[in-house]
Amino acid sequence: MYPRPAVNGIQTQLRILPMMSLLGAVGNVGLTYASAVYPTANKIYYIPFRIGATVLVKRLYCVNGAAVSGNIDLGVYDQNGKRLIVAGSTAQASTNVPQAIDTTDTELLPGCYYFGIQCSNTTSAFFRNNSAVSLLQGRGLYMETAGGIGLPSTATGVRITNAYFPACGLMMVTAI
Amino acid sequence: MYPRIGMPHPLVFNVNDPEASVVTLGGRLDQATGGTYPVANRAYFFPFRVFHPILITALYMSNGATISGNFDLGIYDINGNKKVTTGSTAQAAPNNTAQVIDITDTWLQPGGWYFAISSDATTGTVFRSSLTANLYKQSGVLQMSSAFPLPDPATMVATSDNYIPNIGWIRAPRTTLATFP
Repeated sequence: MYPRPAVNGIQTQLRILPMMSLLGAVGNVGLTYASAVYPTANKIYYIPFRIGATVLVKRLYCVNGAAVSGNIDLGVYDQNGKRLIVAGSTAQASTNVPQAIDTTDTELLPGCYYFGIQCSNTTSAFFRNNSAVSLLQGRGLYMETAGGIGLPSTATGVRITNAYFPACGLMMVTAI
Repeated sequence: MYPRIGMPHPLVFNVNDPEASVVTLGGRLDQATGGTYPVANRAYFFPFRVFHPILITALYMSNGATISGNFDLGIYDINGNKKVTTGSTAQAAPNNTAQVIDITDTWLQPGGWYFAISSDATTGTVFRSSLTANLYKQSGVLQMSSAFPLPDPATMVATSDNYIPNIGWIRAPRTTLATFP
Protein backbone atom coordinates (compact mmCIF):
# COMPACT_ATOMS: atom_id res chain seq x y z
CA MET A 1 0.00 0.00 0.00
CA TYR A 2 2.54 2.55 1.13
CA PRO A 3 6.15 2.18 0.14
CA ARG A 4 8.52 1.33 2.91
CA PRO A 5 10.29 4.47 4.07
CA ALA A 6 13.54 5.03 2.25
CA VAL A 7 15.00 6.66 5.31
CA ASN A 8 18.03 8.35 3.80
CA GLY A 9 19.36 4.96 2.90
CA ILE A 10 19.60 3.86 6.51
CA GLN A 11 17.59 0.72 5.97
CA THR A 12 19.60 -0.15 2.90
CA GLN A 13 22.75 0.63 4.78
CA LEU A 14 21.87 -1.81 7.51
CA ARG A 15 21.23 -4.57 5.06
CA ILE A 16 24.29 -4.07 2.95
CA LEU A 17 26.91 -2.20 4.90
CA PRO A 18 28.65 -3.48 7.98
CA MET A 19 28.43 -0.26 9.97
CA MET A 20 25.83 2.27 11.06
CA SER A 21 26.98 5.78 11.94
CA LEU A 22 24.64 7.67 14.22
CA LEU A 23 25.56 10.97 12.57
CA GLY A 24 23.46 9.70 9.70
CA ALA A 25 20.75 8.22 11.87
CA VAL A 26 19.75 11.43 13.63
CA GLY A 27 18.27 14.00 11.31
CA ASN A 28 19.72 14.29 7.87
CA VAL A 29 22.90 12.85 6.54
CA GLY A 30 25.95 14.96 5.93
CA LEU A 31 26.39 16.59 9.32
CA THR A 32 29.69 18.38 9.80
CA TYR A 33 32.01 17.24 12.55
CA ALA A 34 35.39 18.14 14.02
CA SER A 35 37.60 17.11 16.91
CA ALA A 36 36.69 18.61 20.29
CA VAL A 37 37.42 17.65 23.89
CA TYR A 38 34.78 15.90 25.94
CA PRO A 39 32.64 18.51 27.76
CA THR A 40 32.37 16.97 31.25
CA ALA A 41 34.13 14.04 32.88
CA ASN A 42 31.96 10.93 33.17
CA LYS A 43 28.94 12.57 31.53
CA ILE A 44 26.90 10.14 29.47
CA TYR A 45 25.25 11.12 26.18
CA TYR A 46 22.29 9.15 24.86
CA ILE A 47 21.75 9.35 21.11
CA PRO A 48 18.53 7.97 19.58
CA PHE A 49 18.59 5.68 16.58
CA ARG A 50 16.19 3.28 14.92
CA ILE A 51 16.65 0.20 12.82
CA GLY A 52 14.30 -1.35 10.31
CA ALA A 53 15.81 -4.80 9.99
CA THR A 54 17.18 -7.25 12.52
CA VAL A 55 20.91 -6.85 12.96
CA LEU A 56 23.57 -8.70 14.92
CA VAL A 57 25.73 -6.11 16.64
CA LYS A 58 29.30 -7.26 17.19
CA ARG A 59 31.12 -4.09 18.12
CA LEU A 60 30.47 -0.48 19.08
CA TYR A 61 32.69 2.39 18.05
CA CYS A 62 33.41 6.06 18.57
CA VAL A 63 35.71 8.31 16.56
CA ASN A 64 38.65 9.58 18.56
CA GLY A 65 39.85 13.13 18.02
CA ALA A 66 43.19 14.87 18.30
CA ALA A 67 43.88 13.77 21.89
CA VAL A 68 43.23 10.51 23.70
CA SER A 69 43.22 10.03 27.45
CA GLY A 70 41.41 8.14 30.18
CA ASN A 71 38.68 5.60 29.60
CA ILE A 72 35.53 5.37 27.56
CA ASP A 73 32.42 3.24 27.70
CA LEU A 74 29.90 2.59 24.95
CA GLY A 75 26.52 0.89 25.04
CA VAL A 76 23.06 0.42 23.58
CA TYR A 77 19.79 0.93 25.47
CA ASP A 78 16.22 0.09 24.57
CA GLN A 79 13.57 2.79 24.36
CA ASN A 80 12.72 2.25 28.04
CA GLY A 81 16.28 2.91 29.17
CA LYS A 82 17.32 -0.70 29.77
CA ARG A 83 20.90 -1.44 28.81
CA LEU A 84 21.20 -4.14 26.17
CA ILE A 85 24.83 -3.94 25.13
CA VAL A 86 27.85 -2.53 26.95
CA ALA A 87 31.50 -2.40 26.08
CA GLY A 88 32.79 -1.81 29.60
CA SER A 89 35.41 0.72 30.65
CA THR A 90 38.11 0.77 27.98
CA ALA A 91 41.22 2.91 27.60
CA GLN A 92 40.84 5.41 24.80
CA ALA A 93 43.50 4.60 22.23
CA SER A 94 44.89 6.20 19.05
CA THR A 95 44.13 9.70 17.82
CA ASN A 96 42.02 10.68 14.84
CA VAL A 97 40.72 7.21 14.08
CA PRO A 98 37.62 5.20 14.92
CA GLN A 99 38.02 3.02 18.00
CA ALA A 100 35.91 -0.12 17.92
CA ILE A 101 35.30 -2.15 21.06
CA ASP A 102 34.24 -5.77 20.98
CA THR A 103 30.94 -6.56 22.70
CA THR A 104 28.87 -9.65 23.26
CA ASP A 105 27.18 -10.36 19.94
CA THR A 106 23.64 -9.06 20.40
CA GLU A 107 20.68 -9.19 18.06
CA LEU A 108 18.65 -5.99 17.81
CA LEU A 109 15.15 -6.25 16.39
CA PRO A 110 13.55 -3.42 14.41
CA GLY A 111 12.73 -0.62 16.81
CA CYS A 112 13.98 2.50 18.55
CA TYR A 113 17.13 2.50 20.65
CA TYR A 114 19.66 4.79 22.27
CA PHE A 115 23.43 4.72 21.97
CA GLY A 116 25.24 5.59 25.20
CA ILE A 117 28.73 7.09 25.22
CA GLN A 118 30.78 8.10 28.24
CA CYS A 119 34.34 9.37 28.80
CA SER A 120 36.21 9.68 32.10
CA ASN A 121 37.93 13.02 31.52
CA THR A 122 37.91 16.29 29.60
CA THR A 123 41.30 15.83 27.95
CA SER A 124 39.94 13.21 25.59
CA ALA A 125 38.75 14.43 22.23
CA PHE A 126 36.20 12.98 19.84
CA PHE A 127 34.92 13.95 16.45
CA ARG A 128 31.57 15.53 17.12
CA ASN A 129 28.84 17.61 15.52
CA ASN A 130 28.08 20.84 17.37
CA SER A 131 24.55 21.72 16.27
CA ALA A 132 22.70 24.10 18.58
CA VAL A 133 21.46 22.61 21.85
CA SER A 134 17.84 23.50 21.02
CA LEU A 135 18.14 21.46 17.83
CA LEU A 136 19.75 18.46 19.52
CA GLN A 137 17.04 18.49 22.17
CA GLY A 138 14.50 18.53 19.37
CA ARG A 139 16.08 15.36 17.96
CA GLY A 140 15.70 13.56 21.27
CA LEU A 141 19.27 13.55 22.59
CA TYR A 142 19.69 13.18 26.36
CA MET A 143 22.54 13.17 28.87
CA GLU A 144 23.23 11.89 32.37
CA THR A 145 25.71 13.00 35.01
CA ALA A 146 27.63 10.12 36.55
CA GLY A 147 30.17 9.84 39.34
CA GLY A 148 32.50 7.46 37.57
CA ILE A 149 33.16 5.57 34.38
CA GLY A 150 30.80 2.74 33.51
CA LEU A 151 27.42 2.91 31.83
CA PRO A 152 24.50 2.20 34.17
CA SER A 153 22.17 -0.74 33.66
CA THR A 154 19.25 1.69 33.56
CA ALA A 155 19.52 5.11 31.95
CA THR A 156 18.27 8.18 33.80
CA GLY A 157 18.73 10.96 31.33
CA VAL A 158 17.74 14.59 31.09
CA ARG A 159 17.67 16.82 28.03
CA ILE A 160 21.07 17.52 26.54
CA THR A 161 22.60 20.92 27.36
CA ASN A 162 25.87 20.61 25.44
CA ALA A 163 26.29 21.22 21.73
CA TYR A 164 28.14 17.91 21.56
CA PHE A 165 26.93 15.08 19.35
CA PRO A 166 29.78 12.58 19.15
CA ALA A 167 30.39 10.47 16.08
CA CYS A 168 29.78 6.86 17.04
CA GLY A 169 27.90 3.83 15.88
CA LEU A 170 27.28 0.12 15.55
CA MET A 171 29.31 -2.52 13.77
CA MET A 172 27.86 -5.73 12.44
CA VAL A 173 31.36 -6.99 11.62
CA THR A 174 34.39 -7.45 13.81
CA ALA A 175 36.79 -5.12 12.01
CA ILE A 176 36.61 -1.74 10.33
CA MET B 1 4.79 -4.82 17.30
CA TYR B 2 6.80 -3.61 14.34
CA PRO B 3 6.88 -5.40 11.03
CA ARG B 4 9.91 -7.64 10.74
CA ILE B 5 11.20 -5.51 7.89
CA GLY B 6 10.47 -1.80 7.94
CA MET B 7 11.73 1.28 9.66
CA PRO B 8 9.81 2.33 12.79
CA HIS B 9 9.11 5.99 13.27
CA PRO B 10 11.40 7.84 15.65
CA LEU B 11 10.22 8.59 19.16
CA VAL B 12 10.93 12.25 18.45
CA PHE B 13 10.05 13.37 14.93
CA ASN B 14 11.14 16.60 13.24
CA VAL B 15 9.56 17.99 10.07
CA ASN B 16 13.04 17.80 8.51
CA ASP B 17 13.21 14.04 9.14
CA PRO B 18 13.06 11.44 6.36
CA GLU B 19 9.31 10.94 6.76
CA ALA B 20 8.78 14.52 5.60
CA SER B 21 8.89 15.61 1.98
CA VAL B 22 11.30 18.49 2.59
CA VAL B 23 14.05 16.09 3.62
CA THR B 24 15.17 15.87 0.01
CA LEU B 25 16.07 19.54 0.15
CA GLY B 26 18.87 18.83 2.58
CA GLY B 27 17.89 21.24 5.36
CA ARG B 28 20.70 19.94 7.53
CA LEU B 29 20.42 19.93 11.29
CA ASP B 30 23.62 21.89 11.72
CA GLN B 31 22.71 24.54 9.17
CA ALA B 32 19.51 25.65 10.90
CA THR B 33 19.71 29.01 12.64
CA GLY B 34 17.36 31.02 14.81
CA GLY B 35 14.92 33.09 12.76
CA THR B 36 11.82 35.18 13.39
CA TYR B 37 8.40 34.04 12.24
CA PRO B 38 7.86 35.26 8.65
CA VAL B 39 4.31 36.68 8.77
CA ALA B 40 2.03 37.12 11.78
CA ASN B 41 -1.03 34.85 11.81
CA ARG B 42 0.15 32.90 8.76
CA ALA B 43 0.09 29.14 9.21
CA TYR B 44 2.49 26.73 7.49
CA PHE B 45 1.78 23.09 6.76
CA PHE B 46 4.56 20.53 6.25
CA PRO B 47 3.66 17.13 4.79
CA PHE B 48 4.88 13.93 6.39
CA ARG B 49 4.06 10.23 6.11
CA VAL B 50 3.05 7.69 8.70
CA PHE B 51 3.78 4.01 8.04
CA HIS B 52 2.47 2.35 11.19
CA PRO B 53 0.00 3.54 13.85
CA ILE B 54 1.62 5.89 16.35
CA LEU B 55 0.33 7.57 19.50
CA ILE B 56 1.35 11.23 19.54
CA THR B 57 1.76 12.56 23.09
CA ALA B 58 3.23 16.05 22.64
CA LEU B 59 4.43 18.58 20.08
CA TYR B 60 7.55 20.71 20.29
CA MET B 61 9.51 23.52 18.68
CA SER B 62 13.21 24.34 18.96
CA ASN B 63 13.18 27.89 20.30
CA GLY B 64 15.88 30.39 19.40
CA ALA B 65 17.38 33.30 21.32
CA THR B 66 14.30 35.53 21.42
CA ILE B 67 11.15 34.41 23.25
CA SER B 68 8.02 36.34 22.28
CA GLY B 69 4.43 36.00 21.14
CA ASN B 70 2.18 32.95 20.95
CA PHE B 71 2.40 29.83 18.84
CA ASP B 72 -0.04 27.15 17.85
CA LEU B 73 1.19 23.75 16.67
CA GLY B 74 -0.96 21.00 15.24
CA ILE B 75 -1.52 18.06 12.93
CA TYR B 76 -3.95 17.99 9.97
CA ASP B 77 -5.08 15.28 7.61
CA ILE B 78 -4.46 15.62 3.90
CA ASN B 79 -7.89 17.19 3.38
CA GLY B 80 -7.14 20.03 5.77
CA ASN B 81 -9.14 18.73 8.70
CA LYS B 82 -7.64 19.39 12.10
CA LYS B 83 -6.57 16.26 13.96
CA VAL B 84 -5.08 17.87 17.05
CA THR B 85 -3.61 21.24 18.02
CA THR B 86 -1.94 22.69 21.09
CA GLY B 87 -4.06 25.83 21.02
CA SER B 88 -2.52 29.27 21.45
CA THR B 89 0.53 28.86 23.68
CA ALA B 90 2.97 31.52 24.80
CA GLN B 91 6.48 30.91 23.58
CA ALA B 92 8.27 30.15 26.82
CA ALA B 93 11.72 30.54 28.33
CA PRO B 94 14.42 29.37 28.59
CA ASN B 95 15.62 30.51 25.21
CA ASN B 96 17.63 28.25 22.92
CA THR B 97 15.76 25.27 24.32
CA ALA B 98 13.20 22.96 22.78
CA GLN B 99 9.73 23.82 24.12
CA VAL B 100 7.36 20.90 24.55
CA ILE B 101 3.60 21.42 24.52
CA ASP B 102 1.34 18.67 25.77
CA ILE B 103 -1.66 17.60 23.71
CA THR B 104 -4.46 15.11 24.04
CA ASP B 105 -2.84 11.80 23.17
CA THR B 106 -3.77 11.19 19.56
CA TRP B 107 -3.39 8.15 17.31
CA LEU B 108 -2.18 8.72 13.77
CA GLN B 109 -2.91 5.99 11.27
CA PRO B 110 -0.78 5.21 8.20
CA GLY B 111 -1.16 7.82 5.51
CA GLY B 112 -0.26 11.40 4.70
CA TRP B 113 -0.47 14.18 7.29
CA TYR B 114 0.51 17.81 7.72
CA PHE B 115 2.36 19.28 10.66
CA ALA B 116 1.17 22.87 11.20
CA ILE B 117 2.57 25.93 12.91
CA SER B 118 1.17 29.44 13.32
CA SER B 119 2.18 32.47 15.38
CA ASP B 120 0.50 35.77 16.18
CA ALA B 121 3.80 37.69 16.13
CA THR B 122 7.02 37.99 14.16
CA THR B 123 9.41 38.56 17.01
CA GLY B 124 9.95 35.16 18.62
CA THR B 125 12.66 33.04 17.03
CA VAL B 126 12.68 29.35 16.21
CA PHE B 127 15.54 27.44 14.63
CA ARG B 128 14.74 27.13 10.96
CA SER B 129 16.17 26.47 7.51
CA SER B 130 15.65 29.04 4.80
CA LEU B 131 16.27 27.77 1.32
CA THR B 132 14.38 29.30 -1.61
CA ALA B 133 10.58 29.31 -1.40
CA ASN B 134 10.18 27.52 -4.72
CA LEU B 135 12.01 24.50 -3.32
CA TYR B 136 9.61 24.30 -0.42
CA LYS B 137 6.66 24.86 -2.74
CA GLN B 138 7.63 21.90 -4.95
CA SER B 139 7.98 19.79 -1.81
CA GLY B 140 4.36 20.34 -0.92
CA VAL B 141 4.70 22.93 1.84
CA LEU B 142 1.47 24.92 2.16
CA GLN B 143 0.36 28.04 3.98
CA MET B 144 -2.78 29.87 5.05
CA SER B 145 -3.25 33.52 6.00
CA SER B 146 -5.29 34.72 8.98
CA ALA B 147 -4.82 31.33 10.58
CA PHE B 148 -4.08 32.00 14.23
CA PRO B 149 -5.09 30.06 16.17
CA LEU B 150 -5.03 27.15 13.77
CA PRO B 151 -8.47 26.78 12.17
CA ASP B 152 -10.58 23.73 11.41
CA PRO B 153 -10.65 23.06 8.54
CA ALA B 154 -7.66 24.75 6.98
CA THR B 155 -7.76 26.18 3.45
CA MET B 156 -4.23 25.78 2.23
CA VAL B 157 -2.32 27.21 -0.72
CA ALA B 158 1.26 26.73 -1.89
CA THR B 159 3.77 28.48 0.29
CA SER B 160 5.44 31.70 -0.80
CA ASP B 161 7.95 31.81 2.04
CA ASN B 162 11.32 30.16 2.63
CA TYR B 163 10.65 28.88 6.09
CA ILE B 164 11.10 25.38 7.55
CA PRO B 165 11.15 25.53 11.35
CA ASN B 166 12.51 22.75 13.54
CA ILE B 167 9.27 21.47 15.00
CA GLY B 168 7.76 18.05 15.42
CA TRP B 169 6.00 15.49 17.50
CA ILE B 170 6.84 13.11 20.34
CA ARG B 171 5.26 9.67 20.40
CA ALA B 172 4.62 7.05 23.05
CA PRO B 173 6.29 5.85 25.15
CA ARG B 174 8.04 9.26 25.20
CA THR B 175 5.93 12.12 26.53
CA THR B 176 8.58 14.77 27.05
CA LEU B 177 12.04 15.85 26.01
CA ALA B 178 12.97 16.65 29.61
CA THR B 179 13.78 13.17 30.82
CA PHE B 180 14.72 9.74 29.52
CA PRO B 181 13.23 7.22 29.89
